[in-house]
Amino acid sequence: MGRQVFLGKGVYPIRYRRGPKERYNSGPEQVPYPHEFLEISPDLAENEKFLRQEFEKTTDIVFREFYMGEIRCLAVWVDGLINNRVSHDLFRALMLDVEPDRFKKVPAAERLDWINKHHLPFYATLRVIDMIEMRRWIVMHKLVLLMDGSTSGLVLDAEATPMRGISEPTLESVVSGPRDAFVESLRLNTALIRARLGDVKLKSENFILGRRSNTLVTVMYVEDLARPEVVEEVRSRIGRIDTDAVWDVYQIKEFVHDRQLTFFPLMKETERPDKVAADLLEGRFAIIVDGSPQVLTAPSVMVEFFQSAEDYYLNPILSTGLRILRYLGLFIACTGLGLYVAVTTFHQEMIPIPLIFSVAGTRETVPFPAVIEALFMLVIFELLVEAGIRLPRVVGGAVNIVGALIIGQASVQAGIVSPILVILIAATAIANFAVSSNYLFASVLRFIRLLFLIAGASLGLYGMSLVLLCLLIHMTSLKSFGVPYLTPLAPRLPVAMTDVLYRAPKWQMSSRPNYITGNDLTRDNSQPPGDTPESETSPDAVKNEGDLADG
Amino acid sequence: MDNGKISQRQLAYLFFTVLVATVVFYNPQIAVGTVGRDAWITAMLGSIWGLLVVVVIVALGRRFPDKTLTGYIPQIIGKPLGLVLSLLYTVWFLFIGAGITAQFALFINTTIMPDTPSLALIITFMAVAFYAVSHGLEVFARINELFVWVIVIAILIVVTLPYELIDLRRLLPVGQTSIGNLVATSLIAGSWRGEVFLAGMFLPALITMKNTTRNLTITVFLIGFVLMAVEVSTIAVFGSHIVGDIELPAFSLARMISTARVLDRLEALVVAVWVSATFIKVCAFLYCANRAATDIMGFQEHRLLLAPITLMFTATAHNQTINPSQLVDFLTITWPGYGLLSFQLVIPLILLIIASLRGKGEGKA
Repeated sequence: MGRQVFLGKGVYPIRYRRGPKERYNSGPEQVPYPHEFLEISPDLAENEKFLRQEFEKTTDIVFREFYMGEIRCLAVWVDGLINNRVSHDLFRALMLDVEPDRFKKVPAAERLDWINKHHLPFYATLRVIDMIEMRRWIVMHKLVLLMDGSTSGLVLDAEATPMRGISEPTLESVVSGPRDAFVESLRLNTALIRARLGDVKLKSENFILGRRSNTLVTVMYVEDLARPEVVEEVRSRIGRIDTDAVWDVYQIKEFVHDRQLTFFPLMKETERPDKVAADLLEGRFAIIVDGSPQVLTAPSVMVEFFQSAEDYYLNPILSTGLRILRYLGLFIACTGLGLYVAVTTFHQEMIPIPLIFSVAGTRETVPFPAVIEALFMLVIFELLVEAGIRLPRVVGGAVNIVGALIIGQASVQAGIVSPILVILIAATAIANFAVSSNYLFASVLRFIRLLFLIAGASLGLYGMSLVLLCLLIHMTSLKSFGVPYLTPLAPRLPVAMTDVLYRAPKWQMSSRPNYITGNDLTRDNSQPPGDTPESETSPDAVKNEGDLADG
Repeated sequence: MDNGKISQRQLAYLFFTVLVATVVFYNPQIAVGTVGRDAWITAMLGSIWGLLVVVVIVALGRRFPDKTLTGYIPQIIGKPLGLVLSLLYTVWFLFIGAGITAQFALFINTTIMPDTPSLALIITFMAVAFYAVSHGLEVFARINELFVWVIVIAILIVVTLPYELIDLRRLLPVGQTSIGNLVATSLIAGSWRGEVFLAGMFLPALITMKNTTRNLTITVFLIGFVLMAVEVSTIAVFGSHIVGDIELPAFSLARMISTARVLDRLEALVVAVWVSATFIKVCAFLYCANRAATDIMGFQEHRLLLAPITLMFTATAHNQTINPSQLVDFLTITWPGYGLLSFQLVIPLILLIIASLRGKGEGKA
């Protein structure tokens, strides 16, 4: 127990650590190592007996016995998780291609090694001497190979987890820019990121999480951009997770992010590989969980949630305009209803004279105070949103009709709700989902809207400003992995403002955000177009060079 | 809150808000009421008083780099007397801070919410201030970084948008008041500017002391300009006879705005400035009162006394609820003596002299 195991050339060394925190090794090729240790016996029957006992009443485990020459071998895997073609290749290679005469000459102890070197056309194999670990690999979608007379076994990566193909992003769709989205396979997701970021410094570390799910979790970061202390913190936070099962990033998120009670998202999940690549380049890290079509990135600041991936694929002036539109939407989504209620209840004198007539005219027949009216409509609308998510797609159209016609039009005609309020509800709803491509953040806005509504109804504009103050206090006290949540607005960092209220041209955003990136702040070294004498001759060449440098 | 560190920029911004918060609303009426159309000169003269306060308080702060004002007073003049003086300072923070809260409630009552009881306003306001201060200095210093811009832009709008009504000839003739009268009136504006001595409580929280004098001086003079702009604008719009008599001339100024049939009734803007700026100011006073009390008691944990101090703050504020003319009376007669001529300038100056005579403190002034 607890000894160091060295397995010779060409095989990954496995270090056995003890203690609950270090139960799982981490790192690119390290593997989890269980508590108990049971050496693989040279007698295959004994090993088989152990495995058969362990996987008793387990119908989806395949035990395939075969002979190489006269030597008995056993392959074990979970049915359906192994690539059929690959396993076919395997048995073909072992059973047909191995010459029995040559094989016989190899000493018994070296036979497995010999096969591994000469006859296994697999790109990743691992030699294991522990039966407990062997058992674990089987349920972790690997094919396991045991041989009579050998005190070790081979783990072969022939994984073919059932998964869907890469499709377009459903939550964060854009008009221009890449259109691939993450899927439920970790390996495919890391590949999508790596395909975007061919950087030697892009590191990925593996963790196995979940006592019962044994899920692979990868942390990716660019070594010389991410802050080492942040990466170390993530490692230790993930290492501390001791939970039953994990299959979505959100299940990890609550364990990993800073321990603060808040409804603001302190880590950002995205389904776009290009967003993750851009985040990694700003010194963030990414957490990828096997089985989750979303990837977490952090540290996050609030302004990120207003940045769409598309902002960077459009003309800076246009995207600045869109961004201002989004901030305007934020204002409407959060305060629109509250303002209506506050002004009609407390501050009628603030409405311009012509407008007050039309407002008063429409409210004349309404039997309730403005706040009841607003709450009623808000609840109905939120229910519609929820129903839109849950309802079977077939009846979705019916809900739309009910929502639009019956709730909207009929309630106004019946005189329960004023038409201005219906307009406001619609406007806030549209604004709400236009503001942020992050669904969680949009949900936060729905909650904030309710807060403002209640405050506006009870204390008018003054109450709303108190709520605003409370929210600001709350947000300024939040930190995501040591980065204050409202950076670069408060604390103010003028250099980083190029990407907040407006989107500066690429050649102006020449430095990475210094509040996240550790070192190497230079993002862009290219000269602004038109500045260099060369650019007069070929401005396009310089421009393209700049684009390339940005990756 | 103990470990909250703020930058030079945050300190300067913080004091911009603290100093601008109430002065632009009350000072015009008082100054114009006393010296007529020359009021804007006193606004500038007040900056000189502010400059003196900055020099004194930063000199003291440099002598005791890791101590607050109430922390080093006992070191300078001995423990028994020092504790008494520190206690007086605590009461000062509490009293003036509560006065600002009461003024705030009064303002909200007179402007947008006449029917709400002032106690409700005070309690809700103090609850939020408590929430902010309990998160520490860093938090409200950061929020202020957002507010400063709102305040500056709003004041600019209010001052410039009634351009149709502005008649600068109303400022003429200049300089009919005697110098003595001008200086005496500048003490009122100066007492607001003198609140910069609160910096004595914030200096130990600074990341670096470098350029503190310069930054605070710039802040004080900027306030002078802002105040001057407001006074010039109100006098130019209403004429000096009226300004001396109307409550809250800046608010009335905002009411006059009617541009392009859209920008109508911009007093909401003034209310926004008022709420945000007063909030920061009350936070600063609450922080100072709490910090001073903690220093006197010799506690390490700063959050311990915050709840009782906030309660006292709220009670004092409710006790101070007065009507506008009493307030003007207080601000004209009592305020300069209670502010600039004692706690803000004179006492720190005497402390500085004693400290340099007795050779207390590490650094050189």
